[in-house]
Amino acid sequence: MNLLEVSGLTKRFSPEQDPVVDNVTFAVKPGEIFGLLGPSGCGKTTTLRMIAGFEMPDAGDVHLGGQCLLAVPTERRRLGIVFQDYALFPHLSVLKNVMFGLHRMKNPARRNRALEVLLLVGLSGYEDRMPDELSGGQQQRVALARAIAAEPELILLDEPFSNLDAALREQTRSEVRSLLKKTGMSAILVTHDQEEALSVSDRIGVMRDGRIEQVGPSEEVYHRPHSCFVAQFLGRTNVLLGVGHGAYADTPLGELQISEPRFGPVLLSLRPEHVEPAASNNGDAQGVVTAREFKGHDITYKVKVGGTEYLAHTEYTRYFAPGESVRLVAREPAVVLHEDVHNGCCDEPESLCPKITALVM
Amino acid sequence: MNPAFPTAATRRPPWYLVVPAGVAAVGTVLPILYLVFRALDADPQQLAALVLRSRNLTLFGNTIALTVGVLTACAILALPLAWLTVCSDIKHKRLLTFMGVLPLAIPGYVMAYSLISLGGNYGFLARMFDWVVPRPRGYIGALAALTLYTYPYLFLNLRSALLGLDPALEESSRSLGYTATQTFLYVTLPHLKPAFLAGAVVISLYVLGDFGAVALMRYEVFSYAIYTQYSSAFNRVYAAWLSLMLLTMSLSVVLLEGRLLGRAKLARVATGVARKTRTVRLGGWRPAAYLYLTLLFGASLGLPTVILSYWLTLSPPSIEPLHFAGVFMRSAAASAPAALVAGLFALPIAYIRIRYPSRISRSIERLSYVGYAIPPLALALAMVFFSLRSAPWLYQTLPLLVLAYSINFLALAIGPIRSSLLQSSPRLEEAARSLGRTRFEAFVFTVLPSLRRGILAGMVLVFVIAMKELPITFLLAPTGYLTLSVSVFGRTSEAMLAEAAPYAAAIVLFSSLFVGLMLKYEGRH
Amino acid sequence: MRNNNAQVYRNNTANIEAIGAGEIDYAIVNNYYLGRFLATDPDFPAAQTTFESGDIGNLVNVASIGLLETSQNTEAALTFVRFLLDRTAQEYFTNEVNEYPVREDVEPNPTLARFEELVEKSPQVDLDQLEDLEGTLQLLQETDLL
Repeated sequence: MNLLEVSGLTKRFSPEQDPVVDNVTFAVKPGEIFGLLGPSGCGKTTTLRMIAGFEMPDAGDVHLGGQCLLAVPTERRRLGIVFQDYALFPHLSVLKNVMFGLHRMKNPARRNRALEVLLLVGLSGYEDRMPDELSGGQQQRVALARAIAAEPELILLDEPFSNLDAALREQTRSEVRSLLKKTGMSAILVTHDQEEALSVSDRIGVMRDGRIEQVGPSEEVYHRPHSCFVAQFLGRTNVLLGVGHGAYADTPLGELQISEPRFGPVLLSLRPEHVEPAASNNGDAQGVVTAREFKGHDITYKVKVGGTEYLAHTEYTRYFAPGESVRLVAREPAVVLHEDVHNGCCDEPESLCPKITALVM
Repeated sequence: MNPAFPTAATRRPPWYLVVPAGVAAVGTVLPILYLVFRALDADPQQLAALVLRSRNLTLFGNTIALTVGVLTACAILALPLAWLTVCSDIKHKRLLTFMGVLPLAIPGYVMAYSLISLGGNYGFLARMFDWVVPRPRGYIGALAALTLYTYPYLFLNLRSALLGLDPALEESSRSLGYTATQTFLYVTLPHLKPAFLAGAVVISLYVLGDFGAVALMRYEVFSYAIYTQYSSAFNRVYAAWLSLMLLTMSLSVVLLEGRLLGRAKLARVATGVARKTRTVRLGGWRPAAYLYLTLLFGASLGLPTVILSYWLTLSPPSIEPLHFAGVFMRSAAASAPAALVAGLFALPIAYIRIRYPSRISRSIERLSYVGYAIPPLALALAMVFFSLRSAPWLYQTLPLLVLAYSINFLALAIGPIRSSLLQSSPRLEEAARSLGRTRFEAFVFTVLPSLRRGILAGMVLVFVIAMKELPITFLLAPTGYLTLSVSVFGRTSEAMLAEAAPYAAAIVLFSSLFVGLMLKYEGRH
Repeated sequence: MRNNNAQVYRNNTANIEAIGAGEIDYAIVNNYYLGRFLATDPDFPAAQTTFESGDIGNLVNVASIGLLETSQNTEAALTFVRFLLDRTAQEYFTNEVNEYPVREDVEPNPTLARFEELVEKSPQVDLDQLEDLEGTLQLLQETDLL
């Protein structure tokens, strides 16, 4: 049984323009953290706002616990929301902010519940502070406490970490995830940051131009992208044009094992960590190292093969100098992308997709 | 950051906000309709004779000449002051800014009377120093009086534009080989255009609507002619026509500004975080700057202060404190309800305009600005016609005066509410909704508290401006309802200067409060 | 008046002020305004004079009071008229406002010219003929004075 079911959700802001949200369908299971990931303007926040009841969909349906939500005003949808800018009430103290949503409770219980939630988010002792006397991370925790205090059925998190600085962000992410898991709450996390989506969510849906491109467990979406866009949005990857013959395909990097059998032209994604440079001997060199990025724990090399640059990871011990000739060795099968080879990903700017441009021409 | 979402654009604003906003908008326009009805009352032959009089052309020419003249003079006074207080290394910038705004506290008719009583064989200068200079009058007199008390509107606008100007623009111009003067002409001045237009429209409306200063200076413009027709010639139809002509001019000014601004906005720099503006060393120009400041403040502040003090000491006024308190209380009793009404209606108008942008909410806001653009005498006349025809029980009552103030100053109350609304995130209301509160509760518990300051500022603004308002009060105050402004104007026009002085001083002191408040409010942004 | 470049001032007081300021030499005003100027400032540089005998500028006019036939409050109105004609009120008009009394038992204001002298110089005009407001306004409008 799903907790939330979103089906065929569609929204246009003006009749002349393409829909901002186009036939979006997904479900959230009880206790699950679902990440809605996509670049800015892809419609993920509008989707969230339709679930919350701030926007009315033109078509589609939203069900929470089996009940259709469309006719239900926001205040009766049993949702908690954490906004990007937290939207703490500036005229109320921390405690009063948290107590705000508990207005149906009588006072000793109301106050006690608020104190309990503040303890949960680690803000005991801050009850009487005003929001502007808190740091960004503390404000974020008050917003979370306020959202969960009334025990909503679902928490909506709209880019909740984007106003935190990098160091604080990683720590807060894992705190939020463990808090949600500890309380058994279900949540939707809207974000444009793939690392954030992958690390916090149990499952993610990747959105692009108003549509969901792929839904699945985080690892699956990362390792088995269906489209060029998903492959590239979730991390760096090498996109290859190959010719399949069963379990293998001929590619510019030689014959590679592929994730599912194919015959004829095929688009493949091979993540940098799934391919590594190796020293060439006896003239079996495939390409030349053009650049290296040393990142401490590992090294990323750019290797030029037949006029195109490919990315390959090695651990910190493997050292190649720029100009050196190397072989590229695949460690995993290349992932078959479910795309028409000729459409490819080439509606992306060239900078995002240089290899395929080179290949198709 | 997320793109700004058209918040709840698909949802309609709640009825309890739309209804009062709509009522206010209709209420603003209603009097104008009465003005039109009254104007069409005349028989066609009489009408033709009245409308096609060559004298109307003279009045029109005079009004235009005065408006253009005051705008030019204001620019000449305000631009150097704005530049000195923002860009130069002159000392005491805060004090100079305050002094630059202070003339707003001096009503136009007090400024005019100060100028008049300066000259002549028997004026202040003649009696104190044996200098006989002619009394200012007519075009020059009206020009001087209006300029000296309206230039702060332009100064304030130019000042904030200069403060928001990206210094990198000027620097890159210099680096491209332009001299400082060329840079000022080709880079800085064009960027001041929106600010100039914003100030110009306010000043133009003041000039078109002013009655006290032109009446005292005997310069025949539309508003003065309206008054003469209404009060001496008893020709209400002609007065209505003159009012409509004047109203057309005011609305043209507003439309013209919109037109010109539409193009100028493209060039406007987005004002972001406050940047450190480069200060220019005055060097050898310093004495010239001080001379300019001395002349400017001497005329705009020193003159009325000296004249008022002179009157006060001339023959110590024998004014009963009780009578004085009564006059003050009557002004307050008319102004305070007006402030309240304006604030109450401004809130829903500003709110639906910002949170539910649509053609309707935009129109409602525009209509409320019409109330501000109506020349006060035309509005007062319209209210007379309205009450006589549709609500005789309102004629000659305090509520009618309050209503007229509210219509006239509604737009003033919208401004501060609007800007505090823009600063408060719509997410607050959404947060309240998601926490189980209804739309009404969200409005009461989150919007109102964050708008408290804006609402208060708007109401204070209306209150203080209404306290010194003359033309509407003059026509609409019930018989015997003597307010501060009517007392001053009535006494000065009967040459009872010493008797007028305490009331004038009370207005100036009280209005100074408003200037202080306004600066304080502005300082927070 | 137009040919003599007459200046238009707002009211009687403004005319007298203009004489004081030296802007104009003469003004046609009601006689009782000057007294107020002289009372607060005896040095005020203006004085009362008259035209040649019989000139329209010397018109002696009366301040009148009337009672509407339609009045529903005749009793109170009559009481008010009686109050105005009462000796106290007439003394006030004479001494404070510098006008001439209609009662013989009120002493004339000593600072003003003798009433008989003024009547002698005044032209013979039937005051009832001065009621044509429309005609006056039309004349003023035609000459662009209003």
